[in-house]
Amino acid sequence: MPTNDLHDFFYPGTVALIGATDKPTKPGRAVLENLASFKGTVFPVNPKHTELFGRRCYATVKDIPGKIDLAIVVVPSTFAEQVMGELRDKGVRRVILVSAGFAEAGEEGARLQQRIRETARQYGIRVIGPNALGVFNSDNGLDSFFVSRERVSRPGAGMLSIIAQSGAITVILMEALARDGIGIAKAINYGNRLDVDDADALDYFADDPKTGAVAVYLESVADGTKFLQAAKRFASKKPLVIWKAGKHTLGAIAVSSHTATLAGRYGLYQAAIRQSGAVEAYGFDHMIDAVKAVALMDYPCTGNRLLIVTNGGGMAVAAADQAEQEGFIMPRTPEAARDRLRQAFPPFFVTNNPIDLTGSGKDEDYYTAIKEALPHYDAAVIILLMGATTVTERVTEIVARACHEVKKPVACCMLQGLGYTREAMSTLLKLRIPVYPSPERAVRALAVLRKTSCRRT
Amino acid sequence: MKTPSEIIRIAIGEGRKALLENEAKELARAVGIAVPRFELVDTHEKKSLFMAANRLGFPLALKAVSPEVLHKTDAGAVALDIANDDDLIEAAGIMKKTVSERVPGAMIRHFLLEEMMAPGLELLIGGLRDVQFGPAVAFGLGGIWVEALKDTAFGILPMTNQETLDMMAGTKAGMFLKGFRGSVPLDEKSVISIINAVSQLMTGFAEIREIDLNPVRVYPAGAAALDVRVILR
Repeated sequence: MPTNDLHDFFYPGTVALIGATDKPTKPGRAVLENLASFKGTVFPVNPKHTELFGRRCYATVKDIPGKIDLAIVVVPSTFAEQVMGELRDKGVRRVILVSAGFAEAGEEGARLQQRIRETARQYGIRVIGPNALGVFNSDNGLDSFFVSRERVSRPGAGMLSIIAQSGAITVILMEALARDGIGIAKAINYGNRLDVDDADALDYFADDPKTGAVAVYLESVADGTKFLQAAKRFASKKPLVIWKAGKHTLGAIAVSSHTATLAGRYGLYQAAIRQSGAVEAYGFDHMIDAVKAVALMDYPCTGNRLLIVTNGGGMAVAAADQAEQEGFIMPRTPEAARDRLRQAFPPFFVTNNPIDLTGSGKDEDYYTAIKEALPHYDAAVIILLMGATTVTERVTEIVARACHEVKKPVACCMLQGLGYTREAMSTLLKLRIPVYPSPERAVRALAVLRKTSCRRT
Repeated sequence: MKTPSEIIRIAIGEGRKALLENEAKELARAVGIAVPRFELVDTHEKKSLFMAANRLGFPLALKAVSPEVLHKTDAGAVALDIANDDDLIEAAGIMKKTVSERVPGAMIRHFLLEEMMAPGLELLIGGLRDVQFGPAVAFGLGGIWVEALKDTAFGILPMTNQETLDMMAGTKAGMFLKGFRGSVPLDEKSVISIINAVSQLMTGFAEIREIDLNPVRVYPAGAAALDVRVILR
């Protein structure tokens, strides 16, 4: 099937919501509310209502005048076949089956899923789901997720897209990104993947001009060969970060009871990730840290020479330890740059990499250090301890300016605290500088950036 | 010399799920994988045992070839470092007895008499089929290190030469091949050609389910598979 099949899922003109309702506990209510942001036409469908929140509600999809590009189905699985029949008759060719109660629920559900798959194949209907959140598109406000925005905030527009097998992970990733002010382009959660799968989504995002990078959460793949090909094609164009969960026996058991699919052997997934040119994220924190760097940093990391600038020695030592593990080297500050730093700084500052501005370093000293030294390196970790009385809240802007002037990737490290540092962290993120609560995480994020840059240069 | 297809066809014809060691080694040799020099000997003829030993030269390894024996060491079907004719005949007698005790009903078809190879870095190179990713290869430290160090990396076929190098680079075995703390670099090219030969078998013969070359001994010049197991579908 052609790749651009997924385009109509993300850019429909008209959407029918089968199972729309005003009952606050039902998914049909949350989806209806979330579709308020959609820049297209929404038709609620439910025979029990004639009107919902001021919109006309239709008894069946057949009653809607005109063409329906996408149907979002939230009715219980027992009605799914009937609804699929009506959608087929109406000529709807894109369906998101949000409903649960299919293969993940047992043998009967699996048979139902198989019958729906056959209908879909026969009539050329593409299906996302079942047991799925569906799609989110910041470009047109389309949001089929049945979680309310009061409970789970959505990120703004950005270049990162998300592909996730788990609905829970999709939502948590999105909220974590929203918290850090990092926007996303699109997200897709395909659940039981009756039809649309990981590889289809990668293929679509490879050609989607709004998507600049993709984060994938996988428990298993539908078709390993197809996945590897799609991942290879994607990673040759844009950064790809893949988190494979269900690595070991215990995790694998949780997987099969969860999404009704068998987790393949982790070693082979690692091979697929390596051969595709993607970067592996090893868990939740690593995934968040990695995508933050990929989403915010516009500069590639083309080598392994790392600079550290700090105002506290211990943190630099911790960063250096992690740097070695990640394959970075820390060459000495070049002599000419050191001379200029010696002239600019008091004699007790350490001008050799890692550059230590000590507890007396001022905002401008960070600027000087970064401007003089960073051009000679491939990346930098900038450690900002806000407790020092000589630094002010302006330091974040000054550091960001220096980094963007040098145009080399950086990761800041700032300990997560209360009001003051939290404010400073969010300023950095707004200025497109990734910031992490530990030196190790800052270094690991740069390592991911380096791997994604290597593959495409 | 039989072709790989012939070797596989004979085993399938006899209803076997695995190749005998001599068949597996012939198969390996047919695709360019070096194996120790060996000869098959009738289990009842002392004279031919001595003659084969004379041709190969001591020290030698003696192994029992039996379709019923899956784990040779456990079954007592391997004797190493045999130094002379007397030791050889003694080892053969003990082996017959031990194998019949440990694997009741096992039929020893032949003795396999084989040259002992010099010590070297021991690798595992293997082939497998995965339900999701299809034919694949495995690479890492072999021999006693397989379980202890869990150094095995996989590669999904087909692989480019760069992908093979990337797979190797991710392992300790790959690092040892380059030479480690002053040791001599080992014959990486021979190792790569063994990986390519296993790849060729996995992609070319759908009847093969798994291949285990363990250990593969690597030297500054050359590499040889000391044991070869081929499991059929």
